[in-house]
Amino acid sequence: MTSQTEQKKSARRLLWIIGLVIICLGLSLFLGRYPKPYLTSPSVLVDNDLARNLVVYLRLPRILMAFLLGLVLSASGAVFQMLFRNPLVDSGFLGVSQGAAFGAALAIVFMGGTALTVQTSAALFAFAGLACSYFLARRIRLGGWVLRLILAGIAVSAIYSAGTGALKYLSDPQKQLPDITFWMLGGLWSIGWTDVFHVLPVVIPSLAILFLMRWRLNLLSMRDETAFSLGVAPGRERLVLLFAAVASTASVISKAGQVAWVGLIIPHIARRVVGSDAQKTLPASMLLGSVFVLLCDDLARTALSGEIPLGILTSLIGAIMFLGLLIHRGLGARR
Amino acid sequence: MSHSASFIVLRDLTFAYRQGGQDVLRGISLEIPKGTITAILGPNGSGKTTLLNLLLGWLTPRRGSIELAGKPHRGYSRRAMSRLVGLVPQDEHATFDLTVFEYVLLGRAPYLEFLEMPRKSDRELTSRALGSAGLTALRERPVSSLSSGERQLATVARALAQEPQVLLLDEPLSHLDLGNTQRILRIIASLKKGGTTLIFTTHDPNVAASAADLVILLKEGSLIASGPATSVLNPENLSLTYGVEVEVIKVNSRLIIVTPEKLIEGDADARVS
Repeated sequence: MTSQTEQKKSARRLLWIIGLVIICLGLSLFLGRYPKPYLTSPSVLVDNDLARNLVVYLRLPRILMAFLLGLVLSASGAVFQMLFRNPLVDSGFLGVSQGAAFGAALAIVFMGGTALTVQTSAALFAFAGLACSYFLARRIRLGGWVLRLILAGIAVSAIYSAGTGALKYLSDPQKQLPDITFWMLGGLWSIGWTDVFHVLPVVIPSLAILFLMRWRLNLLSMRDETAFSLGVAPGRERLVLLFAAVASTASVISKAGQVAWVGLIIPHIARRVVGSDAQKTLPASMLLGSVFVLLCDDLARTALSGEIPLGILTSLIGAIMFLGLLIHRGLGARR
Repeated sequence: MSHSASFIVLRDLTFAYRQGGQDVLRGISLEIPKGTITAILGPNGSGKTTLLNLLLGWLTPRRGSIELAGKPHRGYSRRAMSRLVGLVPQDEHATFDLTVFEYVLLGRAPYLEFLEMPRKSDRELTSRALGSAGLTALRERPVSSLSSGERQLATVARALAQEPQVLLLDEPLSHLDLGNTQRILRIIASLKKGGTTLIFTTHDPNVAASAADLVILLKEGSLIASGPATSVLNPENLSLTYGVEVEVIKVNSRLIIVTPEKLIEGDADARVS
């Protein structure tokens, strides 16, 4: 049966991707700027206490956070693209990204700007962005549900960016403005074990929901009447998935700042590799996303003697890959 | 139609899309027996698709009731309902490129637990549905690469995989060429033989005359007539529905509906030279 061979092919490709993830995790652990730039030999970790501590307390949590960031952003991106039947959206959509940026800026300008307040405020306003978009969409009298959510999201994002602009204008240009700018560029330089433990209680259940409902995503990417006729509760199930996607995104970007383009580009690459059935696309997206963010973060911390903001690298590389995909064969999606 | 044989019963069904808005359907009462083919016929905007969506349970009537297999609509859970009633929507397109097999497999959703993935038996049933629709050769092709006729067949195949007792089809034959029209009609006929109750909408009275046992005539949300095709499809009813003069001709016991007024002068005997 042809579909069985197709299935086996996809399964084999998924195994290859898992191998790639393991290689990237290992590689990242031995890449750094101390004690020497680039690769650290394992023997150094035995002899050099400082190097060992550095790997265990700084490099390892940072690598795990990069791994989680990649998993979450690309899983949420894939989910958003299917729920909104639109290949050009990601989880930063619906006022979530702009909300987080506004929340972070607000905390930096008015709440002292400690890591905890910045992260909490970013996560809260990211959620507020989703809530505002959702309730506004219910009141808009134009078009279908998807279009209404998109319109509401655009408006909420614009209001938040205006707020962020105002906060930048009000901020102290010597101390606060650089903090805001740096947060918005995104990066993992300050991540420790506590940060990893903070995000896990949100990230694990959210990813579990997205992963377990992955086949149903195919149904939810159909028109509402069709999904309904196949036994789906389109409104309720979409809301559960949206909530899980936004909760996990809010929690990781509250730690990492704005890391753009991962959620947009990775699902497209995953569809190229394993096909468009979400049962395979979602796990492939998650794993490829973690590879992408791990490699970008390796570059961010080792390429130069100073840190390169992660968001700059993901945007640059992501946008180039996006163009490559468009020029090569289109997005594998029809509008 | 005797009441005991009726599988679907509509009583005084009235619907409006918005509270206080204009009624799209008004006081529709009718009965449909099991294992029949019913055509919902009417001009554009007469409420045909709305009636299908009410039967599906996707829309809730403002007044009146729908009874399915002796039980009111509300008595069914969503999953039970999706095993009972299937839908072939009008020109559906998927945003992402599922293969024909993956697309038809979605029809098995009503039989899966909430978080369950399709089982081997679901895949086998899907293969069989593809075979019945004549799509086996296209199973690994992306749905978006199909012609409109093949895509319609894929949607019908998905409904076959769903195995519903009632199948609703929204304009199943529009935009199809002669060959694909025949293919879909053959599937509809074999489903009927298997005991499925089929209800489809069309704006073409000739399609209703050739394929349906029963005809429902709608105009501006009101029922003009309902009953056996041969008695409903008469010049008076059709003229009232479409607002033009209509003639019904019988050829070899088949009804053919024509508009007698010739609007454009042409030479029927003209030869292509």
